[in-house]
Amino acid sequence: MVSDRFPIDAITDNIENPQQPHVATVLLVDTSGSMTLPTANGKRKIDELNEGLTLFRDDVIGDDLTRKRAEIALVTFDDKVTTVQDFISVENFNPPVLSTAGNTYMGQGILQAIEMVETRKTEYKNQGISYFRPWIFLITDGAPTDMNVGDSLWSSVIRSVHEGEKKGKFSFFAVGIEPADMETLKKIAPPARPPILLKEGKFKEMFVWLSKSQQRVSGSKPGDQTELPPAGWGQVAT
Amino acid sequence: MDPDTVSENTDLNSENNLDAPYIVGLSIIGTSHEKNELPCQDANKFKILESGISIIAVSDGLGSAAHSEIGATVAVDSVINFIMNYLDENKFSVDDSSVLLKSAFEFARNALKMKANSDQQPIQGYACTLIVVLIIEKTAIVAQIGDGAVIAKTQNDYKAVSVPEEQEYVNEVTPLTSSSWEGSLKVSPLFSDIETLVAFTDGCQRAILIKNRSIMEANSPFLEAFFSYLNTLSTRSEKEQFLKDIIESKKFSDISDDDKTLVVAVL
Repeated sequence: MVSDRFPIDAITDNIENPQQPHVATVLLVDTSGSMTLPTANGKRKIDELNEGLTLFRDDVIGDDLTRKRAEIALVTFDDKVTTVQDFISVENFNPPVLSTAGNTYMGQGILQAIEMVETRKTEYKNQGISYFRPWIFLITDGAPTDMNVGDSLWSSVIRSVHEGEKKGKFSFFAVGIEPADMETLKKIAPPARPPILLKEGKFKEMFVWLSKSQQRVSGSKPGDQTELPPAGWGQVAT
Repeated sequence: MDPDTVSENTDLNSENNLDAPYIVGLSIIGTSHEKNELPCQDANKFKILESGISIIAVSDGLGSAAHSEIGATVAVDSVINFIMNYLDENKFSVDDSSVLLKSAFEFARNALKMKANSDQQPIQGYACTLIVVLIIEKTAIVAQIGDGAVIAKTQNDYKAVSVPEEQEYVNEVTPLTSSSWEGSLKVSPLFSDIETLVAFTDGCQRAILIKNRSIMEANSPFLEAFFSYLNTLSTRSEKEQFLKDIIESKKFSDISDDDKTLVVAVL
């Protein structure tokens, strides 16, 4: 407890309120047709996802520091790639109700997410804002339909994800929801961070984990490696 | 206390008037560490020797490392012991400072390795930053790995003597336990005519060090107000309480919820 015998406020008034460092996350979400199918608990995957977004927002703003630091962007991919929400503080994030359609343009979605984090970092730099390593968090229940192993989009995606992760440009997380093609996802995900298969119906747990991880990243100094809370909601693909 | 030590962290005569040269300092636990039931992972140690040489060591154990509070303590203890032994056994010249500091860091890293080996743990679990200040009369030299900083007042001007290595991300540092630690170790030039000096860990960094474009500068108005008031206090216990109140203040907590260490030398 600070005693009142020293003029602490007068002295610390010489310190300006600092600009909070930012941690940017892109949620890159599959909204292809299959996301309307129900999981074992009877709920549609897309509904679980929509609920998860709100849960994530609420959990983050419950933490004083993370609320000031975390920024979120939401990108969906189906027959096209859509930036539903460009970077915004989680506090001001109003989760939309996502709907589904057709194909799985995952490759283009990934490239878009990577471009967005690079642009955001440049903006931070230009504004003199310190920042943490951004996250790209991919959630899918299928396989890409806009690229095939070995084609030019595939090569570009793999190179961008693997090199980007290796050079520390971002941390790339891939989560598969049943019946995601985990073999393909494994090729896409950075070798050092294999994809995680969501356990049946554990959407809620995943979004709470995402929020807690953001709190951990933004609240301490993880050094060259962030130690994240155990992901009890998923199973690491081997 | 060693026979040749004039002053160290715990001074038995804390109610006596404290005249320059003196050093006071402390480490406090951050609010996030309290909340997550983590220990204080900062450590500090300092000595004023009869020879007129003073040594300050501060270390910040990385939040991601399982035993970093042990790492930080081992680092400050071993580095100070190494320098004291060296000064005991060798005729010291200021020109040797840089080499001495580098050897001291190597010794501290070995101490971490030995601790890790004896605990049968990987060395990364003891990851910490380390700043060591060597003050010879009124000349200072600093060696640093990781974040935190040292600022000194010379001829009415606060100068950043040692600042963190430029990193893209705010929370990522190269710790002493890294295999590439030698490349990240920075040794400052000699700074002479020093009146006061502060060494601190990253929890205090954004309060005391201002980033102006890409240049790190001292927050001179704050330091001026801080030292003006510190000079009005007489005893070690008063000065320590004042330091504690400053780094536990609302402003410092708003800036960072991390552990905080502040060590002050008045020469």
